This record gives sequence, C-alpha cells and structure tokens, in this order.
Amino acid sequence: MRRGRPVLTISACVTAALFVGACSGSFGMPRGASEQAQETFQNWQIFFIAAIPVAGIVYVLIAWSIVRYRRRRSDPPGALGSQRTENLPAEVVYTAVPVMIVVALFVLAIRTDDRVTAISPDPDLVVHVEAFAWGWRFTYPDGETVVSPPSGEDAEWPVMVLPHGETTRISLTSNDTIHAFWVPEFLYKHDAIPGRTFEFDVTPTELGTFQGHCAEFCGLNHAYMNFEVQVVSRRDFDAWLGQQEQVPA
Amino acid sequence: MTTILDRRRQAPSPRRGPGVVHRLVSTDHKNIGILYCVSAFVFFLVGGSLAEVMRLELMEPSRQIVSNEAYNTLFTIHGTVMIFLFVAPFATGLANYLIPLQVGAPDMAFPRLNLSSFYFYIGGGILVLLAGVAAAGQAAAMGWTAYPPLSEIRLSPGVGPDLWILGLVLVVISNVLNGVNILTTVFLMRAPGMTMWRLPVFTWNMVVVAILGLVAFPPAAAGLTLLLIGRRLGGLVYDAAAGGDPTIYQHLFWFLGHPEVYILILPFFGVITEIIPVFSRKPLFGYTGFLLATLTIGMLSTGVWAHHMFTTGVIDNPFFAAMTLLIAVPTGVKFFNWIGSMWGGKIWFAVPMLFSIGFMLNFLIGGVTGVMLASPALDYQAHDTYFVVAHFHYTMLGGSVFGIFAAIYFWFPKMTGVMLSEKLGRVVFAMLLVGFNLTFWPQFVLGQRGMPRRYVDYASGLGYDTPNLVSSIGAYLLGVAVTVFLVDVWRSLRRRTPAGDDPWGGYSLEWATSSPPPEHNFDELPTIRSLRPAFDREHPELVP
Amino acid sequence: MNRPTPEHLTACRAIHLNQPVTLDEVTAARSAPASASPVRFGTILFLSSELLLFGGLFAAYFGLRSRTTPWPPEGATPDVALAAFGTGLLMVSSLCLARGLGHAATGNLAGLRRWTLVTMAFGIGFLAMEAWDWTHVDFTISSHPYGTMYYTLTGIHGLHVLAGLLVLVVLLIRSYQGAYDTGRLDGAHSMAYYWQFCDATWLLIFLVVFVLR
Ligand code: HEA
Ligand code: HEA
Ligand code: CUA
Ligand SMILES: [Cu+2]
Repeated sequence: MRRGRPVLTISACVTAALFVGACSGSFGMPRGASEQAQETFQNWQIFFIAAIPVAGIVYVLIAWSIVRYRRRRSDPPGALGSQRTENLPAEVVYTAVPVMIVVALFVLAIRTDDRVTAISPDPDLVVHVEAFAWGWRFTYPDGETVVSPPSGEDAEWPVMVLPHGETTRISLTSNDTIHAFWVPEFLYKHDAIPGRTFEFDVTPTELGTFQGHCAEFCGLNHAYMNFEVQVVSRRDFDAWLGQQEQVPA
Repeated sequence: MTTILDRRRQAPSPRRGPGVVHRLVSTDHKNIGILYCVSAFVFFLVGGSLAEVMRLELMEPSRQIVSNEAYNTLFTIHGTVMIFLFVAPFATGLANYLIPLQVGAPDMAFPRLNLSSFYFYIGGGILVLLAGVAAAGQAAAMGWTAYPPLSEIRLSPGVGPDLWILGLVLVVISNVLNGVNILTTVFLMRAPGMTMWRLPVFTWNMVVVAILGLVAFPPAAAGLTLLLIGRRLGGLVYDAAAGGDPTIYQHLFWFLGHPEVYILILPFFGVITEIIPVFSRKPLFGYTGFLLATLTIGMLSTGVWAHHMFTTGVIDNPFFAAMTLLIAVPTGVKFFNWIGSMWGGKIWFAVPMLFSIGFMLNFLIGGVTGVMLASPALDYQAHDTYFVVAHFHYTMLGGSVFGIFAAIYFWFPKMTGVMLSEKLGRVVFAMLLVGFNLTFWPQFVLGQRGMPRRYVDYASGLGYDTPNLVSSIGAYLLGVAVTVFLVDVWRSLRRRTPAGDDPWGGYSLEWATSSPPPEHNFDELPTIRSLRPAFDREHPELVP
Repeated sequence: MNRPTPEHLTACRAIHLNQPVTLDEVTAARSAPASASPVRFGTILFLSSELLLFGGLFAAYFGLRSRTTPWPPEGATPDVALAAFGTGLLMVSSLCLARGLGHAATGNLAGLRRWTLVTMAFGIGFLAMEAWDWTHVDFTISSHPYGTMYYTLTGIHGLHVLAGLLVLVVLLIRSYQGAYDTGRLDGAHSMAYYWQFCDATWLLIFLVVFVLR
C-alpha cells in the first residue's frame, strides 16, 4: 500500500488543479474583448466544462483500481486477480458515451466557427493589414498608414487603433513569408500567407490597449514582430486618424 | 534472400557479450533492436540538452545566452531529433527486438535489409545534427515543420536546410524499409498456432504503425523533394509570386506529420497494454475492442492532418474537426481497457507499472487538451502558442517517453539478463512525474496568457515571467531524473543482479525463452493456445 | 549470424493464417511445402508504399492545376506524341520481361537472360526519349510551377527506370551465379515487379500530365 500513495496524491493534485481553474469560470482564458471573441469564449467554457467530468471520471476510476486492487501483504505470493476478459455492456457504454459527447462537441464547435468567421456585408471600417519580416503595415481607408519601426529587441510596438463598438473588416496579407495576425484578447488569429488575402471582422467591445503578436514562425525576429491594438471611442478615433499622414495608395 | 545462410561469422557468446565491431555488423534482430534503442536514447540526451538550453534562455524575460538565430536552430533540431530520431526509432528498436520473439520467429524476415535500415537512420541522424551545427547563418532554423517560403533559399540560405531535408529523406527510407520488414515478419513468420487474434498487443500496434508509415512517409518525401528542388534547382511549386502555393507543402507535411504522432504513441499504447495486465495479474480486458480501437485510430489518423492548418483558412474545417474529435473515442476505449485490466486485479507496483500509470495520468491531459484544439474556433486562439507546446509534450513526453521508460524497466532484464534497481527506478519515476508536470503545466497557462511559441524572447509584465521560471526549474529536474536513470543503468550493468528468464511472470512468448534469448530465440516453442502462452505454461489449469 | 532456417519458414507459413494448431500438427507442418514468399510479399508492400511518393507529387500537381488557368500555362506545350512513343517502349519492355520469366518457369534460364537484355534495351530507349524530351521541350524547371512539376515527375520517374535497369543487371548476375537453377524464382519475380512498377507509374504520369493536361 505504501506503493499506492504517491501516484494517488499526484492524480489528486492534477484533478485539484483542474478544479481550481474551474472556480474562476474563465479557466484561464481571456474573456474576450470583441463580439466574435464572446462566441469563442463560450465555446471554450463548454469544452472545458465537458473535459472536467471526462477527465475526472477517468482519474477517479484509475485511482480507485490502484487503491482498491493493490496487492496486499496478506496476499499469497503468486496470487492472481480475477481472470475475467470482457464485459460487453460496459464496453458498449464506454464506446457509445464518448461518441455522443464528441458529436455534441462537434456541433457546438462548428456553430461557433461559423459565427466567429462570419463577415458583415457593410463593415464600418476596413483596415488593410500587411505583415512583413518583421513588422506590420496598417493602412486605413484614405491611405493613412501606420508602419512598424525597424524591429529588434527593444523597438517599440506599432499601434493599430480601432473604433469601439464598430465592426472593423481586417483584410490580411503578407508580402514575403507566412506570418499570423494575433490579438490574444480578441481570441482570434489568422495566418497571413503570400499570394492570398484573408478577410475577417472584429467588433471591439472594450476600450483599452491590447498586445498583438506575430504567431507564425517567420525567422530571425519573429519574437519581436509585436504590435498594439488601441480601442478608442469614435471621436478619439477620428482625431487620431486626422493626425496620421497619408501615403497615396 | 532470407534463405541464404552464411555460417562463416561467429555467433555472439551470450555471457561476455559480443565485441563492438560484431555488434555493428550483426544482422541478429536482437542486436539491431538494441542498436536502435541505444542510439535513439543518445539522441534523447542530445535533444534534451538542446531543450535545457532553450529553457535557460526562456527562464527570464529578455535575451541572455543565445542569439535569435541560435535559438531558432535549437528548437528546430530539438523537435526533429525528438520526433524522428528518438521516439520513433526507439519504438522501432523495441519492435525489432520483440516482434520475432513475440510471434515465435527466429528473426525478422529480411535481416540484412533490417541492418541497412538502421544505418539509413543513423545517416539521417548525422545529417540532421550537421544541419544544426552548420556555420553561422547556414544552420537549419525553420522549425521542425520547415514551412516554405521561410524554408526557401531566399529566406534560409546556407546548407543547413539542405542537410536537414536530406537527413529526413534518409529517415523516411529507413522507416519504409522497416515497415516492410515488420509486416512481412508478422504476416508470414508467425509460429504455428500464433494466429492473428493471438498476437500480443504490442506486435499488433506495431503492425498498424508499420502500415501508417508505409502510407504517410512517401508523400512527405515528395513534399521535401519539391522543397529541395525549389531551393537548389529553381523549382517554383511553393512560390506564390510565380503562381505556386506554399500551403501545398503544409498538406504534404501534415499528411505525414499527423500519422507520425500516432506512430509515436501507438507503440507505447502497446507497451503499457502489455505491462498493465502482467502487473495486475489479470488477462487484458477487452482484447478485441482494443484491437478494433487500434485499427480505427490507424484509419482515422490519415484523415485529420489539416487540424494543424485551421488558421490558414484554406481548408474544410468541419471535416477535419469531425475526424479529429472522433479519434478521442477509440483512444478512450484504450483507457477503459487499461482500467478494466487493473479492476479486480492484484496490482504489483513494480517500476514498469508505475511508469504505465504515469503514462495514463499524463496522456489523459494531453488528450483532452487535444480535443479542445480540435475545435477550429479554439484553435484560432491556441494555435502556435505554448498551449499547443504543452499539449504535445503531454502526449509525447508524458505519454510516449513514460512508455519508453516503462518498456526499458520491463524488458531490460530480458535483453541483458540483469535487473535494473527497483529503488532508483522509483526515484527516477517520481522525479520525472513531478519534473514533467512542473515543466509543462505552466506552459498551458503561458499559452492562455498569449505567449506564442518559437519566441526567443518575451516582454516582461505580460504574465509570462513566473510560468516560464517554474517551467525551467521543472526542466532541470527532468535533466537530473534522466541523469539518475543513466546512473541506474550503469550500476546495474556492473552489478549484474541476475534476472532469470521471467522476473515478472510475463505473458507473451518472449518470457518463455532465456534472458537474453539464444541466437535462434527458442530452443523449443511452447504450444500457443491463447494470448498468454508463457502464462499458460505456468497455469495450465487456466487455459481457456 | 541468425537467419530463419528454411524449415522454420516452412513451418510458419504452412499453418493457415488463422488456424490454432496442436503440437503434432506442428511436426506435421514442418514437412509441408512453402506457400507465400516473403521476398515477393515484401516487394509488393514496398512498391505500394513507393507508389504514394508519386501520389504526393500528383497531389501537388492537381493542387496547382486547380488554381492555375490556363493549364499548362501559355507557351508550355509538352510533346504528347513523343511521350506516347516512350509509353509504347515501356509497355513492350514489360511484355518482354514477362516473356523472359515465362522461359525461366520452364527452366530455360538462357531465355530469361535473353529477354531480360531485350527489356533493358527498351528501357534504355525510354531514357533516351526522356533525354531528348528534356532537351527539346519549350520550358524549363523554373519557367513556372507547371514546369517544376513536369520535370520533377518525369525526372523522379526517370531515376526509377535507371534503378530498374540496375535491378535487371542484378537479375542477370544472379542468374549467371545460378541463383535460379533450383527453380525458386521468387527473387527474379520480385525484381520484375519493380520493373513493372516503373511501367505502371509511367502510365499514370502519361495519363495525368499528357492526356488529361
Ligand atoms: C504522441 C503525439 C500526439 C498525440 C497522441 C496527439 C493526440 C491528439 N492531438 Fe495532437 N499534436 C501533437 C502530438 C500528438 N497529439 C503534436 C506534436 C502537435 C504539434 C505539432 C507542431 O505544430 O509542432 C499536435 C497538435 C495538435 C493540433 C494542432 C494544434 C495547432 O497547432 O494549432 C490538434 C488540433 O486538433 C491536435 C489534436 C489532437 C487530438 C484531438 C488528439 C487525440 O488523439 C487525443 C485523444 C485522447 C483523448 C481524448 C483522451 C482519452 C479519451 C477519453 C478518456 C475518452 C473520452 C474523451 C472525450 C469524449 C473527449 N494536436
Ligand atoms: C518526443 C518529443 C519531445 C520530447 C521528449 C521533448 C522534451 C522536451 N522539450 Fe520539446 N519539443 C518537441 C518535442 C519534444 N520535446 C517538439 C516537436 C517541439 C517543437 C519544435 C518546433 O517548434 O519546431 C518542441 C518544442 C519545445 C519547446 C518550445 C520551443 C519554442 O517553441 O520556442 C520547449 C520549451 O520549453 C521544449 C522543451 C522541452 C523540454 C524541457 C523537454 C524535456 O523533457 C527534455 C528532458 C530530457 C533531458 C533533460 C535529457 C537529459 C539530458 C541530460 C541528462 C544531460 C546530459 C546530456 C548528455 C550526456 C549529452 N520543447
Ligand atoms: Cu512574423 Cu512571425
Ligand atoms: Cu495532429
């Protein structure tokens, strides 16, 4: 029995850790600062909550069999366990139940995917985002442009400003290698692939400044290809836009 | 081929062990198996040391010890080494050693082919390492996935990437030849009475692995060839500017890449499925269901590759999400086979059993996080973050590598005739289990807090500092654990505590011969009347 | 050295794949004749795997084809007639090789060697055709992705034919060494499989690259 313990405690700890996350309700994920992100966040909660009982049950079963069916001092040396080799009803159950779970998860996952990637017919603003090694060029409708300073260990991050509560269409492309536009708080990222242009919408629901990263490995300064997103009121946005110099498109 | 006998060479003398030279040229499957396992483990040490350097760099924000370029090379080689030169070849080694024994054959079907595929592997390994140490600005630094355009000559000049590609092609050849050998052996050389439905589960899993290899490796070779042609002969297939398409490479790579991850785990599903019943003193629970699950995983795993490409926006998300989610089911079946095999048993917590339990505890987390990644929307967030890094270390390190240690402690006595230390074994297990979770649990947190992978550096104050520190500490605990393990092996080989033919009361045929087995494996074969020929011999009364 | 003895192989194979047996059945089995041949079985596995190498290349080919119009691009005119001629050469070569094995089956090894040589002659003819095509076709490997695929497919196939020729040389040598005197032709047949494989893959390439366009 001395042997049973460490394993037991470990599994206990892990399950505990899972539940600690559970209490906070967000399970460690940012709650999302855009309408699209709300969808993803809900999907995350569902998947995580589904995972807790699944993992929980399996851990409990493992722990139980380890403790209950350990070899005891009292057992004779060559003692054997029960020689049962199958149990059809049980096997059916533990195949069928997971099938049902994953089917449900599938439906939810696809619905979320559709909502997150849905494109509005008339976005309030279109920003062209061009990723390049190793920086970003954000171009606004009338040619106002923000470009990264030469990237490097302590170059400061270029800023993309978005109006609060309005739907911004981001059209994403790259001119050299594959990068990825990622704002963790928006719970969304998309690859920027040379030769292709991708479009997706983001409708910020929170004022504030958010970090953004290049998420697809793109070589030497991949780690320094960061940017910042500032979500401001419409008025501040227009003011800011006015100050930007125009690059004739 | 196989019938040409050359009797000129001398057989190894079991006591003193054969000379090094003989070991390097002997085509005895047991010898080749050990060659594979030892070389694979050396690659583990190398890959692990690289990882330790990465963890040192990431321990604190801002760059300290390595240049961006060096860091990129570190994880490129680390990933390649661990996947293609450590875990998969270690499984091949076990297969080479065990399959002929488990099916009651005197050797693999094509012994010389077997030896040659070993040297293809070594050759490939050397090229990959050279790719890592190529002169500054020349080394391979495009990630183990080597996506173009990044891996094209324009952005990755120098010989490093070329060496890396050639190395991988050799590894592909090695795997294909080996797959052919395994399948031929299992299908044509089983001993009388060893029907397909009495094959030990490890062998069965290796059959599926071999098939997966034959299916998945050649297309990847095609992708790599086109990459090399693009780099050196002016090919344009991946060149968007010229009308090519870089995502074609991603499809070809992941068509191997995903089956590969099952090539990395199935052998060790097999290993712990051999071990758990033995130490629970029970027959395996639900053998048939287990086999069906294995075959289902094999089939599904060739249809999920693009779940690595959700963020590219060029694939059919619902299809790949569905296939990916479905794989959870057969894998779950296996978990319940293991639980069922312990249920009502008399579990003996010897070291192999401890590692098998550790496998279950860790892999379950890797598995359920995998299911989360299978939701496209969630993957948009998690892709290329440390959440994924944590996921796959939970499956490959917490799973496959724990399986490797279980296998070593289980079969070392059979291979060498001497026992490893139970005491040190427990220490290694405890340190690995704690160190592993300490290293990779914080990486889930990092991923959620927005730290992308393949970052040499991170800004402080974004919540990345503490998890990275903890992770690095865990990594050093792992390093110590592995060192203790090496000490254990070294001590045991010097002390030579005799193991006897069957120290565990094993079930499958290899336990019915001596340790180490004679040159021709069996002096006489027990009649095979069930899944457990060796066990049946001790307990005739229980034969079904 | 530790190789399976013929007796053991016999014993293993003689048992029908899924029949449980008893000890005396085993002893009976040891004198039973061999059925499946490992060499042939292994070769077939290997070739079906290698087929997927071309499978991968075709996948890339169709991937590009689906997003490029026109296909083949302007000014790229592969020489269909020439390719058809090459196809003919390979087809005939396959028949010759089959003929040779037919002779071998009746113990006529001289016939085997003769027809193998004829086969090789046609094979060399095919490579000559390739060489001519490469030097005369009106685009290069770096003209456009189509060009890359064209040269890659034909080139890799060409390498296979080259390998096939070497395999046939080995077949000749082995037959001179008397490897087939015993009437066990599995080795020869497996080598023939390889040649037929080169032929089959060329048919696919001809279909995809030249006929479908
Ligand atoms: C041994 C290797 C291994 C294994 C076994 C797995 C198993 C799985 N993996 Fe993982 N994976 C990797 C190695 C592995 N993976 C690697 C190396 C990468 C990254 C490569 C790179 O980019 O560098 C990766 C990346 C990866 C991605 C892409 C992430 C990204 O880059 O954006 C995805 C997405 O779907 C994924 C999913 C899965 C799933 C669903 C499983 C499933 O097979 C898991 C199934 C198991 C369980 C689910 C647990 C047990 C089941 C039950 C108890 C039954 C009940 C459960 C339910 C009903 C949910 N993996
Ligand atoms: C089976 C696969 C496997 C295994 C076992 C490991 C093991 C480890 N991995 Fe790795 N890892 C990958 C597969 C694996 N990894 C892959 C595929 C990637 C992706 C690469 C890419 O992005 O391209 C990756 C990436 C990766 C990263 C992310 C890098 C990045 O994205 O920036 C990190 C960071 O912490 C990491 C850490 C570790 C650590 C600490 C271990 C530890 O467990 C290591 C423990 C082992 C040892 C410590 C060895 C013992 C060494 C000694 C005892 C010293 C003595 C040495 C000699 C005598 C020579 N790995
Ligand atoms: Cu740009 Cu990473
Ligand atoms: Cu995958």
